[in-house]
Amino acid sequence: MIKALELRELCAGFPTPKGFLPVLDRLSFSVERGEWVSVVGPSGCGKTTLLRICAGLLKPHSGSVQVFGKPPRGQAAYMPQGDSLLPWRTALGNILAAREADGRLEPEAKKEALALLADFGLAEFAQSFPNELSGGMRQRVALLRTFFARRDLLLLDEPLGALDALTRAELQDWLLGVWQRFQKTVIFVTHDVEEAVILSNRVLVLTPRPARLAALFPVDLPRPRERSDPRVQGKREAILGALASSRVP
Amino acid sequence: MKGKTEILWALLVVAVLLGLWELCVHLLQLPPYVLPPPSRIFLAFARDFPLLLHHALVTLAEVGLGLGIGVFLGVGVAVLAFYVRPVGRALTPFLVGSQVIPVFAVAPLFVLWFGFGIWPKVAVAAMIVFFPVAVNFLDGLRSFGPELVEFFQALGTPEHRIFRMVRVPGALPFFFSGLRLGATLALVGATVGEWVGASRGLGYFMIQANARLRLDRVFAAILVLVLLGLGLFWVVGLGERLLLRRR
Repeated sequence: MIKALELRELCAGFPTPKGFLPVLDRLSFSVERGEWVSVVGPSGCGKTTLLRICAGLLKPHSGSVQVFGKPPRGQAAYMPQGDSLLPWRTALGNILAAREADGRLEPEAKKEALALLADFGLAEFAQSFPNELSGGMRQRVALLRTFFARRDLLLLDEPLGALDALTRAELQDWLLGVWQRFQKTVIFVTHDVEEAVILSNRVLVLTPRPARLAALFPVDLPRPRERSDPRVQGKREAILGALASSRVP
Repeated sequence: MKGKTEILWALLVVAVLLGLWELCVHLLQLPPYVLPPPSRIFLAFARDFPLLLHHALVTLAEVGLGLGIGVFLGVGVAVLAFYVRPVGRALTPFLVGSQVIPVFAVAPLFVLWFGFGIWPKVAVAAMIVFFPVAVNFLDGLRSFGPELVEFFQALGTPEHRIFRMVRVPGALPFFFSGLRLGATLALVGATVGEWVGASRGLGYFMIQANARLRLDRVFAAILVLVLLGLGLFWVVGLGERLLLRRR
């Protein structure tokens, strides 16, 4: 069975004036098709570097990455952190861009995109430009665009990071709905452990830089999960504990 | 309607100024070879209209050709400087420094090199257009962060398509601010080129009229230049509105 994502002994880093700065240290793990794996770790530990390598935007120093058994470039849909929508395109135009990126736009793509916007509560914003949308709405559009790309692996870099707590909780439920409909594999970077527990099949904990795999927590709870559920809180405590102990050398 | 009242106010101001001008000329009994009154200028404009039109078309052709060549080279150099890093590094200080080259001082050299025909003026206009277009378009290409592009790069979109879908539309507002600057200056550049040496064009017409102390004709030519400048500004604005329908 081919893995959606497979990392073997992955090392990465950047050259700096002071020499080579190691960022990822011998990371190995694999992700099954259809899984939701969240990546948590202290800020600056290399989570974004990891995603960029999985997206094929960055070459690893050593080790290997495979997305569905192939080299990563072009295989996954990557949603960068921050505002990545094209400001001169409407919400609809931005979503269609995910297919235009592969060449000619199929005639039914527009209908499909409009239906998608309608299904996930954005019908009235189809013709709105990003600067006319709230932060939460912009992220919804950017997320839908990533799902709309014809790729089975999605790499999401803190898509809910910049939102206020209320919008964030709302978007978590919404995102879960989108994911359940598409059944795509998701790698989700977050710094919110509770969010990781609510959403994921597994939570991957990284150590401070250079990041190693500190722990892997499966979350076998039925969805949707309640924040107040003691099992959710239990997982959260366990992951926070692993994060804390990974900081001590 | 804010736009309409603004235009009305502008027209009113112009009318008052012209009235004062007319009044001063008559009260001070200034001879027309020192300062003609607006009435005489409009008369000259109407009487010499076919001649003015003939020369205006020559100047306009020079500006149009200069614009085309300047935009083509400016965009080309900006794209080259953007993609080929050593070229970019080598050109950037030159492009920034070139802003201070007094292009008008170069005009006589162009006449020397390209003769008395239309080409030295085209060259001046093209040179004036080239720099702001190249500098602004390059700034535009560099203006947005990688996150706009990385979504597409990760999908494996070829660079030529990213260029068309992301980079060019992202750089267009910068391009147009450069073009607007260049288009109006190019008109002045072509006229100066004609002052230096020409047998046709509005600049030539002005020099001839000036030598005969026909200041009414000089002012009529200036009026035509103003109208041409406004027209160019309008055309560039129209292109901008068509291409950047909304932001």
